[in-house]
Amino acid sequence: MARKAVDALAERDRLALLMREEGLDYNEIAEALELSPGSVGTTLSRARRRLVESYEALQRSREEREKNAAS
Amino acid sequence: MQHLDEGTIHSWLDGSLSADEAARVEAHVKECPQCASAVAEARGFIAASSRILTALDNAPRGVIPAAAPKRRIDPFVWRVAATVLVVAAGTLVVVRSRGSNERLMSPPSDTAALVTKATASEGAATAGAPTTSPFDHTVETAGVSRAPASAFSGRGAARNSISGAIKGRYEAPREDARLGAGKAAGAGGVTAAAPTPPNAAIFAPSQIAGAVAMDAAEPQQLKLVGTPRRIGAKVSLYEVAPGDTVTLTESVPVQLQQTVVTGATASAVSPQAGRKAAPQARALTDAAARGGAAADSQPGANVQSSSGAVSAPAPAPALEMVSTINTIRWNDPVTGATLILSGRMSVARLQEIKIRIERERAAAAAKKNP
Repeated sequence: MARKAVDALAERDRLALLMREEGLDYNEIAEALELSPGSVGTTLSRARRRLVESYEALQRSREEREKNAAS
Repeated sequence: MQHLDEGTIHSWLDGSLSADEAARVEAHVKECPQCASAVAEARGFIAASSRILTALDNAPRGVIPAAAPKRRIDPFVWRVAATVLVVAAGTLVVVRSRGSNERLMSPPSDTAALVTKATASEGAATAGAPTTSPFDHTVETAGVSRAPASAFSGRGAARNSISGAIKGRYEAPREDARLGAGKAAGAGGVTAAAPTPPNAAIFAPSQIAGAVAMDAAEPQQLKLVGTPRRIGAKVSLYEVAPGDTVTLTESVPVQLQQTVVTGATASAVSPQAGRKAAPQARALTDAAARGGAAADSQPGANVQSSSGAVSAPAPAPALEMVSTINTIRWNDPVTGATLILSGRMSVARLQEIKIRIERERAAAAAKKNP
């Protein structure tokens, strides 16, 4: 489900998020993604929000399936 | 101050802002509850996203099929299998050994038939039942079937002696070595130099073995082992020594009594003398094969000469071959009949047997007419 949530992200958001998770700083991420250093924060904030929202959406749908299956 | 945007808040929380910007943001967050709430929400997104990405490192369950657990055999099953195997192996061994024993213990029918046939054809009426083990029984039977064909065929009167010798072997079971040696000597003078037990007499050519026997040990009593029937004669079969048999033929109308000594030409000797005589016997046999030249240099010659105390019509040669048949004649003092004793042995040996026969006959006559 985490994989689905990550795959649902835009490529740039996903890469920025994975680079940050790997320990790269904003300058390295900006250089890798050809972004301005000031826009990395915006990209990361958008990616994190979408990731969490997507994950929560998948989790809810799963719970609903299990609930429907149980019922 | 303008409210903080989300990107600036994440940059501040990630520590990517400069010190001045960070101090300015921090001061604003303390004063602005809306931005403080946005910072709190941003912390939540950072933490949640971090947990979701961390979950990617863990191997997702269900992707790799789990290996089927190995079926372990219960140790109790192993114990049962081992027990069954041991019992089966033991049973097999017992059954096989029992079967072989039964085959050994039951005398072969063809061997028994051969014995019966040989005994009947030779006219031996008093053939005793074989007392040896079935294994020895078989060995002796082989000798019975082979001896007449190889050495004694066509000898006429000597055939009774052969059957007597065979019967004597049956009635007096002996060691296999002695039987084998006697058989070999009777078959052509080849002495078997097989190892013998300490108490077993060693068969050697009569010349030496007989002489040594007279010097070394008291000869055994003549043993009546059979009375084969012959037309016009009364035949008595004696065993003068283990392996040596004597056939006493008493012609009824004619005053002629003939004693033929055949069979194994070796006699019982003491173990020490036997061991001494055995190698000499082989040398003598070889000499006979080359032409009968006497081996005067053999130590056995001295023994022979010293034992020839009995007077003989002809001087006994120092060494006499097994294949030579000697004959001595004398008159019975009681009946006046002429007795002829011949056999494959030295004259001295024949003289010794003659004395024993006379002694036996005298004793029998004394018992018959006290």
